[in-house]
Amino acid sequence: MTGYVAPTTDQVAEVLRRIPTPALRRAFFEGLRNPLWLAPLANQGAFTKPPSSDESADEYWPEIDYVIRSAAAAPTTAVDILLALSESRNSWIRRAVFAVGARVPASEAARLKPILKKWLATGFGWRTDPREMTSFTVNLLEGGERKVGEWVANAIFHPGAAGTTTHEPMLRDYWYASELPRVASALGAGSLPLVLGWLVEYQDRTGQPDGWSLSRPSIRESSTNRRAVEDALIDAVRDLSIQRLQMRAPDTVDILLDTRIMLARRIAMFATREAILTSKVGTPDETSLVAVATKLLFDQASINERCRIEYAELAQAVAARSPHSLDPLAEVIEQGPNVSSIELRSRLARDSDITDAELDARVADFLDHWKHAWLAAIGAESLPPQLQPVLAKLDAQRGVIERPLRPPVEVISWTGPSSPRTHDELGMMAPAELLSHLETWQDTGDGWGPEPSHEGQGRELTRLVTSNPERIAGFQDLVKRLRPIYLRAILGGWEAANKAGLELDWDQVITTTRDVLAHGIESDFPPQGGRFDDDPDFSGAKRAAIDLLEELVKPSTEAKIPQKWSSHAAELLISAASDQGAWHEYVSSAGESGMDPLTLSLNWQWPTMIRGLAALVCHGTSATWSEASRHALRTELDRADPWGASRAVMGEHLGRLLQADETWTIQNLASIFGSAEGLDRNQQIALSAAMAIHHYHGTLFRLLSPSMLAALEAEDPVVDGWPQPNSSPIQRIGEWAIKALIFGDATTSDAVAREFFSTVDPETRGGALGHIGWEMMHATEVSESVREEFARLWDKRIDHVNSHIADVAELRQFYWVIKSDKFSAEWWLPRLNAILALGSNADVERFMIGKELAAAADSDPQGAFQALTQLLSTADARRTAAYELSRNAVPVVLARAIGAGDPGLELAATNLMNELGAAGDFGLAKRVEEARRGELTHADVED
Amino acid sequence: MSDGSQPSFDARQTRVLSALADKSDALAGLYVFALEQLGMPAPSGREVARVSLICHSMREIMNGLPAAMAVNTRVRPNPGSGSLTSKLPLLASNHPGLDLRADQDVVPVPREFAIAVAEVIDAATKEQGIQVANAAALLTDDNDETHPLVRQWKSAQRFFLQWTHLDRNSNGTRALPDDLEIWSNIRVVEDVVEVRTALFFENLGAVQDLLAIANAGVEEEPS
Repeated sequence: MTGYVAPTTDQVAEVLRRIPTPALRRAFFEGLRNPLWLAPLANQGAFTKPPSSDESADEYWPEIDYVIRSAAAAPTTAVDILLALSESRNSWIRRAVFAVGARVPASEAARLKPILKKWLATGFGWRTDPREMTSFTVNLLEGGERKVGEWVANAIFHPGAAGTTTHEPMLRDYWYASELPRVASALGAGSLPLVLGWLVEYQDRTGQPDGWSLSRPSIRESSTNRRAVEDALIDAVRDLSIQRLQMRAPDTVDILLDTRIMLARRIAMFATREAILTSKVGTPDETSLVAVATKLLFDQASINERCRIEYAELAQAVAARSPHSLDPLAEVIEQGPNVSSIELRSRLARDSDITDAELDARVADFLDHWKHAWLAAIGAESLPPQLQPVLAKLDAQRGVIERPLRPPVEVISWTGPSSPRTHDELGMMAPAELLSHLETWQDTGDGWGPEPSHEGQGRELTRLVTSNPERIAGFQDLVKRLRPIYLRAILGGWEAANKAGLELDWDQVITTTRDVLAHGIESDFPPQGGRFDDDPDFSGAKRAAIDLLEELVKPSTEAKIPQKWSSHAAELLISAASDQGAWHEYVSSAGESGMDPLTLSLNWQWPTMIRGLAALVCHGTSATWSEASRHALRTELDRADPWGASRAVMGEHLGRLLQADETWTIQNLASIFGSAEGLDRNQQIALSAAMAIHHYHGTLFRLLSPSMLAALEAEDPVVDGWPQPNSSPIQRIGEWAIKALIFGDATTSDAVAREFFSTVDPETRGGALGHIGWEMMHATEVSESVREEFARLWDKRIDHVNSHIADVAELRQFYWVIKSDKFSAEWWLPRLNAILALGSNADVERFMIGKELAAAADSDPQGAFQALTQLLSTADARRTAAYELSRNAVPVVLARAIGAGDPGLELAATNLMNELGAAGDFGLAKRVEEARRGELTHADVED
Repeated sequence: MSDGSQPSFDARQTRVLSALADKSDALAGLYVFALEQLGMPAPSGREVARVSLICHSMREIMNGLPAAMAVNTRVRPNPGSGSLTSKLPLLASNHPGLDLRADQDVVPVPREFAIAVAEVIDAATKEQGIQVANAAALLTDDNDETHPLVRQWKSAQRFFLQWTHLDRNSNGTRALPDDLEIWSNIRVVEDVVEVRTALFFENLGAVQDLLAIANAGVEEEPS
């Protein structure tokens, strides 16, 4: 066995002389394991000054973790130290009070109460671990300090302690629900009034409907997995009540009923039932519990719909032990619901013109229903003999109640529409049987709950047709026989099957599509089920038909559909273009979706049709539908598209259109993409979508240059057809201009490049330059000429910033150039140092270039060290250097500088190493040494 | 050594001397002088003088360290309260009618005299706590005057001061400190010099050595 040795006074004094800085204190207190040092250190004043008592300050205090570690071995000293820190608002101290309180004997933990009392108004600290709070409380309760324990439990668990709302306790829901059972168990049955008080207070403060709690239809268990305060409290009160009743405390029910809330009455009934079930037959306990139960059952307030289930279950338990005790039940049931006749008639007379006779009948029906529900809930086996025939008669008259103990309010969850037949079951049917099933199945649900629906079955049908299109093949009269929701499902299935390259019954596909498009918007079938259970009309099916056609006419899929059928598809699409319904639907509703133009074009029928027409034009002038499709497309583009989706489609297709029909495209270029004279909203969308979708191309750059110039001159932000993260239409223009320069398609006198670099803000210019570096990083190869031109451009931009320092943000993404690995360190290192010296905020991305910097240190230790120094110029950067500048990058650069043979550089590197160590990287010196020995190289730097 | 030979210092003393020499030749000289004196037994009858000279040297080192270490210290007022006070007798003699003990509620004094007293008060106010503040600036990173090290520093300072001014022990009632006690107080200064002049990782190494000792266990007898 190993024990520790107490220090001498001189040793403690020497240590305190050796740790005058926060970093050295941290090193010492984090490393100290010997608890025998706690008291001597405390005596010499080591624990008197936590970092700050300022409310906003939250500086770490390493001393306090040592206090916590030593608390079990030196409890009195640890508590004394904390008692002297009650003025501190540092959250590390607040956390420590609970951690120490959980580790020391309860008598010592109890001495901490004055601190907690003082902190009630300001909170117990956001760092405090809820598990430690509970452990502290449990320690007090189980260690003989019950009074203080109850006080702490109340401080932590009573609703409203958080101060942020009127009902929130100090702990968040999850922790409250997790920790309350431990505390309730330690509190024990004697503390039922305390915990019940929390529940009542919570109910009051949240204004919960008494007893009906949607979240708690059953006292036995919660209906959700979500950990909620209310559920936790109900569980705790329930368990303590059961314990109390089992311990022969007959006042338990009175305590619960005194609250006068229905939830407590439900708990009382449930707990009494549980206690009866666990009592021994024929014992005084059983007799006493049955007496408590009957008192509850025949209390008039218990005849309430809100507690019918608990009532019935309690009656069942009594019947099992003492059947004759339920004899008065007949009278209770006969009296009916606990409401006066006048009030009942008033409630049931919903229509003003109801006759007395009708109201009498309604009242009688209600009373029968009520009686039936209560008797059925108790069940024939548990009812007194005289009530059994009453229930039988009601069952005969009104039908047997299937689930008599179903809670009055039931929370049901489901994840989506449900199908009466699974995908596999539908697949087992012969095609004719399947069609017949789809024709005849009726949806009787109300749209709420997991009942099967047409929508659910439609989704299964889509899955089936996608993988097995032949299961529906051969039938030409689908539109006459099936609801539109199933047509939509089949068309969607065909589209997916075609994408997957499966063979389709083309005759059936084209015929059905034609029939759907030709059908009026009204459905021949009345919709069934709830709101989302069935398609009320043909709009969904028509949209699916256009989606399918658009897929079929894409040039890339031409091979899948035979020529004959592709012509039919083209004809259908062209004739569908004149469908006014799709246009009006798009114009009236698409704007509310909040989608960008390109996304809109994928989700609405009219722009989908535009996409199909554009695809038809892309087949070239030799296609039989060429002229007709161009005409139809031009006609549709002449519409004033208020949301721009059609223009996003044109931007998307620009390249293919140019390739397929250059003449037509050039003719229409200005009207679609605008000109140097200016751009309207739709032209901005077309231009920005084209640039977002297409890679740079010299021809496109030349053709779109007038539009780009107009965009650069626009006063308002250019509307983006397809917004991309960290980009904008203007930045994309810059990227294209830069590529034109470095690919040799333009010179610096190019109007777009000149305009971009002279009028656009430096952040956006920097974004464009950085993006090209990023693209180079992803390129496997970059030609020497491109690299040289890009390098030249960077030099020009650095020169520009040298004379226009306010534009320094333009250089902020130079790290992508470094990261691209297409430029030598000899080139980029001096430029990085120059950019950093200009004050660029490139250093905020320092974590990205650690590996490159470490590698560069081999050839240029001085330059790499200079860059490192600049990258770590702030205190924050130094604190996080080990993590942000890639692990191991710093030691490699420092090692190369120290070993470079330059005394000045060696001294500077040694000093920086020590500064970084003092900032918290205690292992740095060791890693620098490893790097010097060659055991750590830039290959070990994490990317 | 006073005979001109090189004194022999241990490794720590050598490090402290080197660090002091980097900052101030005068302080380094005082340190060498104190160590030399301690290294020699006092000739009979000169025991008090020996202790007083050692303590005087160490006190001067302590007072000079903040400036030598280029710590951001508070400057002592010039002239100080002592100097200003010494001018008061002459000033009083210029006003023979001045009776500061006159039996009345308000005693009028000449303006010249009132200004002189005000200057004394100002200087004394500035001087008050200056030593502690400068010590805190030297010893800690955050000018923490309550740091336990400041207490040690002040204690050592008091120790050296009381044997610097022999008149404070004019009746000779205080026993002369033994060398062990002197060494112990010198150690406070040495450690401060070492810690404040060493690089971080050197100090970290020293802390880790102390931790190794603190955390070392002993085998307990099986019960």
